[in-house]
Order: sequence, then C-alpha cells, then structure tokens
Amino acid sequence: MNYSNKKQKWYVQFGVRSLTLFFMVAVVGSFIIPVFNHQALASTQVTSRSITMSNSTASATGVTYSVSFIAQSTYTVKAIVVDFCDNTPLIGDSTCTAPAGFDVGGVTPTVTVPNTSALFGATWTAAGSNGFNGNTEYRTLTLSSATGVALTAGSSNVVFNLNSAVNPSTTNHSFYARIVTYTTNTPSYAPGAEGAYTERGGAALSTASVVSVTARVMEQLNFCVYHTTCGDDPAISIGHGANNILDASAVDTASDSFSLSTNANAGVVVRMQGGTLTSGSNSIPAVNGGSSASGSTMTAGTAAFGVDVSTPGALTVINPYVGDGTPTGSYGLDTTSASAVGSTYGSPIASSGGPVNNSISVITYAASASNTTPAGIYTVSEQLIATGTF
Amino acid sequence: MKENYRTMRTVGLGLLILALVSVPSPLALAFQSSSTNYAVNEVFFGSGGDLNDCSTNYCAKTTVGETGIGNSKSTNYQAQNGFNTDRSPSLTFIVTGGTTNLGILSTGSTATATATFSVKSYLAGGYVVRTMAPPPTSNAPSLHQLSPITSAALSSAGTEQFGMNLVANTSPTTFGSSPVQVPDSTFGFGSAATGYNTANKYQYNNGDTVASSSSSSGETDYTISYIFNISPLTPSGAYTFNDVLVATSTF
Repeated sequence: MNYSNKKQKWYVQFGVRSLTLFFMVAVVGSFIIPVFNHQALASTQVTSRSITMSNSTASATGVTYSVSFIAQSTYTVKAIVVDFCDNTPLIGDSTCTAPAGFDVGGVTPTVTVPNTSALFGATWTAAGSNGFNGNTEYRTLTLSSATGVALTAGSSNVVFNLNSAVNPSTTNHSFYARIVTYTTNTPSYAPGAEGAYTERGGAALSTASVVSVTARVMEQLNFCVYHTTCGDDPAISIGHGANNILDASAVDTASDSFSLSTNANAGVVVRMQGGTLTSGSNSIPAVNGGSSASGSTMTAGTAAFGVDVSTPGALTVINPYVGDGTPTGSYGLDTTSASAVGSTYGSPIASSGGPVNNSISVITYAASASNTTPAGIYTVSEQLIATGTF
Repeated sequence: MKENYRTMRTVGLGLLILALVSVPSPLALAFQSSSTNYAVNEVFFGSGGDLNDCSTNYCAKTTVGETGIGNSKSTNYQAQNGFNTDRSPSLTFIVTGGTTNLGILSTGSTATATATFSVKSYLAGGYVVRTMAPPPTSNAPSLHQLSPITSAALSSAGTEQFGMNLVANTSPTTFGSSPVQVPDSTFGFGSAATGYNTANKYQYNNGDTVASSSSSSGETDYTISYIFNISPLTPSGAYTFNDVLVATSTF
C-alpha cells in the first residue's frame, strides 16, 4: 500500500471512527444529561401554593381569589403572572384555554395585598390580558411593581387577593392556574414562552354546585286565659263571707291568668272588651270615673269596679290598669275614651314591643258595694283579645 | 490528499462537537422532582414500557421492571413514584346541588336534610373544604337568621338552632353518613373536621372548615347532615339556606 493509500485508509478509518464516536456520544449523552443536568435549572418551584376562592358558585361575580405561596429563591420580585387555564397547570405547556365564563376582572382587575404578605410595602399594578369572548373576559392576571420587594427563599410568604374574579360558568368544574414570577416589571409571558422567569408553580381550583334548603316558619300566636291551668274555666266570683257577697265593709278581689307566646315581629296588644258589673238596670260604677288616664285605689263602702294587671310577665301594662292586685292597690276601667272597654275592639290593658315566649300575666278584678247599692246578682263578661303585629 | 485529510478531520471533529452540544437537553421547564441544585424528569431505569400501549378498545401507559412505584410518604413529605406518574396537580370537587324543601317548621320537632359532595386531590399537600354561607335567612323585611350552633351541641326541638355535621347520626333521627373512602382507605384520606365529626352533635360557623385531608387523596365521599329547629319566638317567613362549599388544595 503506498503512502497515499495508507493515508486514505486512515482518513476513512478516522471518518468512520468519528462518526461512530459521534453516535456513541449522542446515545450516551442523551442518557447521561438528564441525570446530571442539575446545573441547568433556571427556576425554582414555589411551595405551599394555593388559591382560595371566596365563592365556588359558577358564574359568581366579585369573587376573591386569595393567591398564596412561599418563595423558594432569594430575589427581588417585580412581577407575578397568574394564568388561568382549562388544560393544565404546567408551566411550559403552550396550550392554555381560558375557562368558559372566567374573567380576572377586565383589563384593570382589582387586587389587594394584605399587610401580612411579603409583597406588602410596594406599589403593585394589576392588569388583565389574554382577552377572549370578544375581549369581554380576560384570563391572565399580571401584578407588577417598578420597585418590587425582596423575597427570601423558604420564608417569604407571598399573598395577594384578586377581588374582581368571575368564576367559570360550568359548575363542579376543575380549572388551573399557572403562577410565574419575574425580576422585571415588564415580563414577556405567553404559555410555553414564559421568558426569563424566576419561580413557577401550578394550582388547581374548582367550582361547585350550591346546596339549597328552604323552609317556612308560620306566624304564631298562642293565647290562653285561665283560672288555674290553661284550658280550665276562668269564670270567677268576687265577694267575701259565707255567701260570697259584696258589701260596704270591704274591697273584694278575684284573679285570673293569661299566657301568651307569639313571634309577631312588632309585638302584641291584649285588649279587654266588656263593661262594669251590672244587675238588670243597676250597675256598679267604674272606678275613678272610668278614666282612661290612670287608675286609683278603691275604698270599702264606695261602690266601684276596676281591673289591674298585677303580674305583667313579658308585657308592659297600660294605664289605667297598672296595679299590684291587692285590695288596697290601684285599679282602673276605661269607660270614657274611644278605646273604652265597651268599644268595638275593647280597652288595651297590656302590650309588648316584639315577640314574647310564654309570658304569664295575672289580671285582678276588684269591687266594692256601698250601703245604697241595690241588691242583685251583678255580672260582667270580660273578653281578653290578643292581637299580634307581624 | 492533505485536503482530504483535513476535510475528514474537520468533519470528524465537527461531528464530535455537534454530538456534545446538540444532544437534546431536557431542560424542561417543569421537573417532577427538584431541590435547589438537582432535578430529575421522567427518568426510568427498567426493562421497557410504552406511553400509549393500545388494543382495539383500550389503551394503557405501561412500564416493566420499575424499581419503585406508587405513593410513599412520611409525616411531612410524600412522593408519587414511577415512570407513569402524572405530573399535573389536580383538584376534583363535585357537589350534589339542588333544592330541598323542608315545608313548615314546628317548635315540636326538628327538621333535617342531607347533601353530598366528593373530593380528590393529586400532588397536593392536602385540601380543606369550607362552608361559605350565612345561616338560613328569612325573606325581607325580617331577614332573620336562624341561630347557628357555634359550638357542637345536641339538637333541641323548641330552641332555635341551625347546625350540621358530616357523620352518621341517630339523634334527632337516624340520618347522615360518615365519610367514605373510594375504593377504600388506602386511596382516600379525607375526614370530617373538628366540630363536624361527632355523631348527634351539630355546629355551624360561616367560613368553617368542614372536611379536610393532610395529603394527596383519592376520592372521599361526604354526606352533610343539616338540622333546623325553631322556637316560639322565631320570626315567620320563608327561610333559605344556600350552602356554598369551597375546596382549596395546597400544592
């Protein structure tokens, strides 16, 4: 073999070896590089990241999305992009489809930074981008600051609230957020071309159906007039002695009770409709001349009939019926005003300003006869009427 | 000759350099596992596999001979091991909505209702489910809210109360269900939260966490048990409770 042939042979051998070596390196290199590519990481992943929604109802407006994460690098952050996608939360994925109906709040969304956030202290500007649906909705939020804030790896908790979000229109629907941070306040972000970012992270969210339960509460008024127990006969007899009579020697009394419960929002009024003790054409006059303004004590031997509410319960007693229920106490009987006991609806004796629950009141009737009071059996039917205002 | 030599040498060196610099660098922007200085991305040491192994009607992602698969976790960390693990975090939250009409409430008995929801969360440090709604409220002008039971307590007919829990109950009646892990407790780890996890005791505070998991979890099915009690003082009206449940995962 001559010199030129040897060299040619060597050339060929060299070329073949080079090619062989090329392919070997290519194969081995593609195998090794993934394992030893530690020095090529350009970003870190933020941790403890979440997006808390204030309302999960589909299409809800004015929803607050609270974005929170802990930085894993030390740097000055000047922009944070949150891109909401229907597809995946993976940074680097070039496809990001906006969730139907979703909106960050237009081109100028509302964002607040709580004073506990690592972002607090800088002036942040919020912008919406990547409009869809005829640019009536925007899927990407960019928060930027000319000065930014310094973050410390492992300890800086970044929190900010997007207060103008509109939820996706599909209920029980999962969607995603891609979070990317930058050291420039003019980031060049696009799905799959995120630019020179520092940190990233993905999160998942979901709308949900609303559980509705309805019920009705009826208007309620429970009123019972009784002598001893609700349901018994409240009829009473006023008098003293073996024959239970009225005379000039004493003021006699007798009592009944009434219970009241109501959910009337504006309260309840109890009225008494009736009159005074009457026997044929004779009657015992109302105490204190039938005044509506106030009651008065009764004197044995002065013919008079009156009523008081001595134990009001949860009610307020109305004049002239304020008294203590004793023979020496004050009694009244309105027979003169437009709201007299003889009027269409009777005389108000007690009331409340709102609902009452199981209020127990005692009503006492008092009477005395004079020496000239005609003999007879004197009776009166007093009706108590409770009226609630709902 | 010399030119040929130089040419071949140049070509060989060029190919060598090309091999060293142009091998695709999987500097992916999202590594499955990473720390400050190291990362790995879908590395598999095994006998084989296929990301899209299909028959006529079925497809599968398969691997053969992986050295370690499945979920492993300690108190504070967890990992999804294997070549076929999905690297997308996710949250699936399904609430069975609709309206339940309890009719006319009575001071003599307790009205009850139930609702269901399910949660699963992947590659998460856990999730919480909160109830974000005011108690049952009457229509205008009253706008009265039934008194919520702010600390878990028994139901008492005749006392105005509103509350709920997420467990099975026998009082005031037999109703409700405790959380169910699907298909079993080796896959799902959700549970009812404190205050909502005691049978026959009910509680309600707007904003409370009612269910949670402290790690990634397969599906957990929850049943909410609601109670409604009124007193003679409860204002009349049509009461409505719209329970807005919000699930939040931390990744």
